[in-house]
Amino acid sequence: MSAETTQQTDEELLSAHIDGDSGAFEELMDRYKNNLLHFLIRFVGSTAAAEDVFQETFLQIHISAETFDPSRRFKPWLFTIAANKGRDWHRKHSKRTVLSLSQEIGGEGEGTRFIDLMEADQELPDATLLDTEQKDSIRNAVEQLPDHLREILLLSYFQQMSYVQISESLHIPLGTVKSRLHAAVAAFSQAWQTANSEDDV
Amino acid sequence: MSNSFDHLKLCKADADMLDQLVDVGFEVDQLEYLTPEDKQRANSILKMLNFLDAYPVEDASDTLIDVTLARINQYEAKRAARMQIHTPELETTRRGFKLRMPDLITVAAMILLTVSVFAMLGKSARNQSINNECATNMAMVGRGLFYYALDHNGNTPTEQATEVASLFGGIIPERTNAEVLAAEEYCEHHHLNCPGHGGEGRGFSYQTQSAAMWDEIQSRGKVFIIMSDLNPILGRMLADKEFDPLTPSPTHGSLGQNHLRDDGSIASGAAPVFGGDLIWVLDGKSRGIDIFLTH
Repeated sequence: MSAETTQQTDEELLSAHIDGDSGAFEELMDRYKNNLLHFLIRFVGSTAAAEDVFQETFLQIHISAETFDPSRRFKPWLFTIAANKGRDWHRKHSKRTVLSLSQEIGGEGEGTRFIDLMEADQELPDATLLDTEQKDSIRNAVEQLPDHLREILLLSYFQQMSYVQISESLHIPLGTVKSRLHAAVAAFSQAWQTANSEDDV
Repeated sequence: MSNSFDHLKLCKADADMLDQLVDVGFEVDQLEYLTPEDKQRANSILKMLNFLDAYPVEDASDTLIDVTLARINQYEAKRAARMQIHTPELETTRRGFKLRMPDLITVAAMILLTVSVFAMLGKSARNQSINNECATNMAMVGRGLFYYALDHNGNTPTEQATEVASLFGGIIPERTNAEVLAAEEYCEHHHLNCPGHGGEGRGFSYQTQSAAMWDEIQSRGKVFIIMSDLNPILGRMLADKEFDPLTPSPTHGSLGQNHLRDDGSIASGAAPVFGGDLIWVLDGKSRGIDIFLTH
């Protein structure tokens, strides 16, 4: 990769790829290989599956490159396509079971439970001191989330995409994005604490 | 799947704080005018979310980019192949027919040629019309097979023909499954039928062989029939009743039956004999290999 390509923006690299610059696409992949792969591992649950979806994603980027609006940012587009490919993967391999969490607890309407994270914080260990078993619990907690909650949690927290960006990318209303993120954080918190309380027993 | 979580919500204070954190990319220092309680709440949310960082992930392998580039090159090679003009050819494999570089233009030209040849034959107008439409449908299925094979590493869709296992000594053979072509939009569903058949059940018969026989057929290097008009004697064979192997297909009156060959062409036979082999079944003389079409 030349020094020139490493100084180009993502959008310029994609444009160069369309114009036939063979190194530009490789540079784009290199920039996002770990970030995207980590996102996909968290989304689909295994490295092997994530690598496959990674390839599908960049193949789709290649195929659709000429439709990309250069006035927009490349990164949200990339992660939108990755999320779509990840969802396709889940559809093909939909055998996951989902935890049923505290359904018996009441709240707003029958069965609604409000999670207060400040209260939960009093019992939480330091994330940097987790052992392997606890890390596995986190993985399980994430994997229990339904796809439509998980993708928003990952796009929001790891990719720092705004509500508006997620709304535009996934073609869902802004309010839905917010409510799904709220639900995702509440569910993750609940699942994580449930897993930990089971471990304590 | 989402219903299990519909009952879970953040309390309003957490939800409002989470919205603020999203707005600043989870950089709590960028939030101004926080009360001590707000700050504590923000930190609680971040502490929970920080656990996500502990999700075990691996960095990309050294080969991931190379493999991805190879996949893109493979896609481009396939796309380029579609744009070239080739004579469609088939070779057989253990899992069905394997196709080499077919081309839309060639196949489309073949269809037009086929239809025009049939139009010149000048039999009864109704049977001729049925025969022409049947040939066109068969050509569209043939084209669908080519393009399906292009997208599936050269293999065509097959299914297990359990109902004719008794004719194969109890071994379940494989048969072309053209329903897949329609389901995946490689052709339209009405192409799977000869209009003379009337639309009940399958309208064509398809090549059926045991897995071991595919290799044998390939080694013979002869013209191979992929599909044909409906085999009229299959039912009698399965019922172990007497049958005449020279029974013609009833779908075109006296015009015989159409068959799609592995070179992409469509032929029409006045009698159910083709290239020394019967289209339908053995004629009672063992040749060690036969063309066997079932529906």
